[in-house]
Amino acid sequence: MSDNAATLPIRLHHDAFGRLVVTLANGQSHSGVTPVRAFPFSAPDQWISLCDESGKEVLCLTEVSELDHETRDQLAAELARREFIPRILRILDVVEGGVASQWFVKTDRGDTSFELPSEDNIRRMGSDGALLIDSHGIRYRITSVPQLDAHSRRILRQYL
Amino acid sequence: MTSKRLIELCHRENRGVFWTPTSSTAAKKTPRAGNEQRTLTELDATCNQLPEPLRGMVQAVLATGESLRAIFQPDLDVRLRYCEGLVVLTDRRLLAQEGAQLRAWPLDQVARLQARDRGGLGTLEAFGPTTRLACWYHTVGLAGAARDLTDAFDRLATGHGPGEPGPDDELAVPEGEKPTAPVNVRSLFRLFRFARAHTTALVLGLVLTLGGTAAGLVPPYLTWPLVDKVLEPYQDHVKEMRSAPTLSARDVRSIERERLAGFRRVGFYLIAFACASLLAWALGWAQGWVLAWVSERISADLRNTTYAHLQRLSLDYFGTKRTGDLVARISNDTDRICNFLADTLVDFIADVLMIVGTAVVLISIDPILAAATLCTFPIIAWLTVHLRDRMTHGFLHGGRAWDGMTSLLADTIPGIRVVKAFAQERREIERFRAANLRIIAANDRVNRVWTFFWPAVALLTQIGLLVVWVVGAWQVFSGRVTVGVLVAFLAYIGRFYARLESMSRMVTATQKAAASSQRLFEILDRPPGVPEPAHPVHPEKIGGAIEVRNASFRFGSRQVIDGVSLKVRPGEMIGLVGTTGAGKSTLVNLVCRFYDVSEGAVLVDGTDIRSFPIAEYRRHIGIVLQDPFLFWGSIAENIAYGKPDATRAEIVAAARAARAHEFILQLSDGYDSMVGERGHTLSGGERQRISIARALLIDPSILILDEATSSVDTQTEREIQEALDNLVRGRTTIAIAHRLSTLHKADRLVVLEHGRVVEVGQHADLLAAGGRYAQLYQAQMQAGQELGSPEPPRELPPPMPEREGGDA
Repeated sequence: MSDNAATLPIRLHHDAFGRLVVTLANGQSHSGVTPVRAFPFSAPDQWISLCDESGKEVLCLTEVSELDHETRDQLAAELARREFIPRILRILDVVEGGVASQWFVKTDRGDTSFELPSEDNIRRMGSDGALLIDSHGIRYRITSVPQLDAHSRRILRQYL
Repeated sequence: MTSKRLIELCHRENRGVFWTPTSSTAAKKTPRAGNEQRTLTELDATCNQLPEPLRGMVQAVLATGESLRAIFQPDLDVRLRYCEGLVVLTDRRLLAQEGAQLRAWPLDQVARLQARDRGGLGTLEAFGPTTRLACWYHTVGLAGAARDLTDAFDRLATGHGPGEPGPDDELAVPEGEKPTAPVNVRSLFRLFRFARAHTTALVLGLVLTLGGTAAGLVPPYLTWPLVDKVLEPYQDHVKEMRSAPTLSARDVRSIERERLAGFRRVGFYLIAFACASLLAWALGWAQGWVLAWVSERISADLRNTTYAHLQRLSLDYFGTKRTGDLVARISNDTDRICNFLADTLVDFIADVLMIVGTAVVLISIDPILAAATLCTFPIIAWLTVHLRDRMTHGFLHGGRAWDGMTSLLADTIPGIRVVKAFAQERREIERFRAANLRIIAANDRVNRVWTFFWPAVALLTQIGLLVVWVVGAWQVFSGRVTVGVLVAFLAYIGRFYARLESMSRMVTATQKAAASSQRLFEILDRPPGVPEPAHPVHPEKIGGAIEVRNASFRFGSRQVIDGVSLKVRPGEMIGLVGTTGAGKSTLVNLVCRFYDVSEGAVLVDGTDIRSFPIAEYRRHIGIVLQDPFLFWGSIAENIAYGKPDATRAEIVAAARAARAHEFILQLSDGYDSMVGERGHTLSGGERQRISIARALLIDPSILILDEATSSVDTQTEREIQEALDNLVRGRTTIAIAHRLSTLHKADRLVVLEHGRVVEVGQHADLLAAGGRYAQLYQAQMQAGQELGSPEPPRELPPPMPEREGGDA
């Protein structure tokens, strides 16, 4: 479906409607593409797929590092604009209420609070990461549980 | 169990005997050479074990050189009353008992033997070319034996010699159908197998228990000298001083000195008292910790062993068990055993040691007082044993009543729509009330017993105390013992009865733990249904040539696969067609070796699959089932289930080939999305495509498609079909489908009916032949038209055009 060697280098730009346009090595261009991480947690910087508006894959980039600097930055910016996964830096407090619980956290995007519907909505990611999914489906990441402060770890230990 | 032993058992239970020369030991391979000789001798042995009149009859009638092929003992007469009969098949004749004689038919007069069973009654009929020769009746338990007779006959008729079919046959007597034995405490001893690995810790625990118990005996012992050597003399001194005011100053000083010395001894005894208590506490703690540590490990071992064993059991075991039951066995029962080992057992040992220790100390101090103390012991022991029995029964009744109520709930709550639809709420409420009444009645009974029991023990304890007081006081008066001894006794007796009480609690705990370990060993003692070969052949690369050679398979008495022979070339696609229950899935399960054939063999690349190590063999088989099972985990993990070390490139490639890549990208977490989690519930077609990717990833030589598309609608089927076409390419494929359109790519279609192959050929040929396949096809066409599908039935237009090529 996609052959990286043949399709690299690619170029990215936005058209007048603000849509992302990708121009492949063979000169073909597709507009309105969306970059999608195929493995957002296990390999966030590999396997980035560019899909068109109907969800059809235009190109799959297995190694982002093969791209030139400019394109890579563009891609990163584009991905950042589409992804909202706050990273939890500190857990301030958790208020238990039956099955669900209210979490007050400090994230890399500011302080917030959310409702965690049940304990099933926390899961381990890799060896020491964690992922929390709130009642609206918003995901919050913890990159490394051991690197959190003692208070946050103590709270998390009851759930993990 | 050897065959001989089996036959003996059959006889002892007075059941009909079946025996064919080909049967050999269960689940063990016997070399085919020399098999014939041995089994024929054994058949003669069978004959020798027939009851005398029959044996005489058979032997008298056999001509020289005539050899037995099968013996069947029907257990009903023509009026269907219980009556032992005899049907014997030799290589020349069919013999049957008629009255006191044997009637014989030469084999060339017998055209066919037919065994049938229905509603518990089995019939075995012998047909001549034009008439029915005879008919025998038997209970359904002998159906397997009857079929063995007909099989032996069929083999004779088709000219196969004995020992022709497979090297390995299933036992006819299903195992695990023995009546369940009553709860047996002996199964608890079998737990020692798991304890052996932790002998050191167990011994340490026991030593600590002993130490703790000994230390626990010291404090009451110290009350004796404390009273006799300190308090009493002190009191005497005080009295002395009061009663003799004319004491000289020197005397007063010396008495004072003695009092002080006595007081110093108080300190000594109290410190010793405290030390002993502290020591007992420390030892008790250490002992508790060590034993808890051990029991935790033993129960983990038990769980691991049981689960590992469960994984090795064949599919039919899981077919007969409720999942909840198995889960309960591995979780609750091991937990109960753990509790038993850690708490109850240790407590019990401590109690016994304490009681024996106390008794020894008491007797050593004063035998008469000791006898008085122990006099109520036999009464309490008797009462405990006696009432325990009644209580255990009571608890059992209560448990059953409780079960009745819960199963009522389990029945009606899922069926609530039916209850409401038929407006039967009131009746269900009544039924529930009745079940509750039964619980009340059962519990009332047991409550009466135990409410009597504990106060009775308390009363007896008080009586024991009273007796000790009476005897002790008398002894003190008569100067045989000191007050100190009496005080020590009173201190001991409290402990003694407390221990006795806790020991009596032990009985129920033991019963429960024994029941639990029995349930566990019920799993552990079950042999794996599909045994690993003794001399495995390691397949390097499987080419994919499958040959099913005269295979038969039986579920209990039901013949599911009956002498199927089929050869599949490498890379060929076979479509299995047939009505429900025709044996399609079973045949496929035999090829996958989820079960082993009862007779015949399945060969892959010319090697019997029973000589491959199971796991190695299955690595070459890809399976796509009707209802794809996805495990809890990410999509990537699910695709890589059969090959956990697959690279991301392999996973993505498999997903692409299975037409799953793009819908996976649309999920919020791509390949890292958790399956089964809320928000990521996948549709049937999506799940199926993931399972196809899973099969593709292991790159199997043999592919099994078991109704892979029958649970989805036609649109989804079209999507899946594309993925399947990728999967099938270049692999030996056996596909089962109800919807005949799914099989349009099949090289050959095999039509099964009642476990037999009735037709083999290509779609067009079979249709032209107008046989069973044509009927099935017509039926589907009609159904399609009756449903009023706007498009002409997609079901198999003979030259299937590539009409599914469009984008889904």
